[in-house]
Amino acid sequence: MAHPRHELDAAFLTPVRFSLMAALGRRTEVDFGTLRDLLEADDSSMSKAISHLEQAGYVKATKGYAGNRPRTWITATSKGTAAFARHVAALRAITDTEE
Amino acid sequence: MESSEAADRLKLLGTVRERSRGLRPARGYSVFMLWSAVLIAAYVALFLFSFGGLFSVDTGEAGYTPMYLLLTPVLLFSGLAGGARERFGVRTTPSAWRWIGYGTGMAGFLVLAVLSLTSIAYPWWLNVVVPLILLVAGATGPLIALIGTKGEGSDRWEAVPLSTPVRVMTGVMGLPLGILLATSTARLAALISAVVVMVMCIVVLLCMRAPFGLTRVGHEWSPLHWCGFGASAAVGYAGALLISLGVWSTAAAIVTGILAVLIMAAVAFLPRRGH
Repeated sequence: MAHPRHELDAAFLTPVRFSLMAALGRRTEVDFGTLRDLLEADDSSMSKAISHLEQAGYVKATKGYAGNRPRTWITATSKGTAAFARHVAALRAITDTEE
Repeated sequence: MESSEAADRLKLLGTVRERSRGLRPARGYSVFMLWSAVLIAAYVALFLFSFGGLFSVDTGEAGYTPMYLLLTPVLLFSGLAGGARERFGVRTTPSAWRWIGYGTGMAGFLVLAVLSLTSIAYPWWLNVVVPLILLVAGATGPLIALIGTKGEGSDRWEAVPLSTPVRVMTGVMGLPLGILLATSTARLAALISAVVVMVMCIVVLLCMRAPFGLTRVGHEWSPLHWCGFGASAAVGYAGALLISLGVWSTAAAIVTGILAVLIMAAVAFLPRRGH
């Protein structure tokens, strides 16, 4: 039986990307600023995290405007939600295996 | 990954999930989505009842169909709604069930509309069922959200004075309906005004991103302005219904036309600047 660490998804290995997926609920679109403040991250690391996860197909970023100012809303895709659930299950399995 | 690192990540998961527990759409967003569902369902219901064979479409005194009275608020709303959604930092995406319900309702509406316009008879109760499906599909999610956040008032949708371009646009928002209503009893004037109003709507929809555009207007509007728009649309819808029922007159046309204009002209100046 393979070690559960093989089930970990590289997309979620950084704290910001991991936290971002943890914060996004099912069918919730959250704007960039709200997520950034929630995760206490800076704009640059948030942008990079979103871009990485978007390329993996795990989140979708929708651009719009709030009045004159551009705004971005982020939502987890079903592929991303499923992948994150597998990643969390692998983490739990790792902690269970080595107890 | 070491077990301790995995445990740290799981702890982080718990912390983030706890923090994001309050990350849900504001009550204002749910109210707006509920209002939108009611508007669309009302439009579909009135359209089907006006053209579904229960009433005559073209009445004696009003040589004019109510189609444009029903369509105009929906056209304007399509532009306004996008802007309104953009003011909320947290929104919901529709569930699969909602898409199914909405798709079923819209398909039903299209089929019944074609049957109505080609004078093919169908059971009258379908005119009730189709709008009901749309209402349930659109309103269920927001209602559940509102019940779930009952008593929470920290995210009130505050009314702030409108910017000048938006104020002007709001003030004239009642003009299309006002013109359609006021000219509805004079056949030639009604035809000309219908064309003029549709051209106006198309131009406005094409200028969505302008400072006076519908997206910006919808973004700045507060519940007060949405209520005004709803009231103005209700005047138009009532006019469409009365025309279909054959109880319409020139006096009614002019009074309702003026009313539709005055409602939006009034709310354009609220809240007042400096207050």
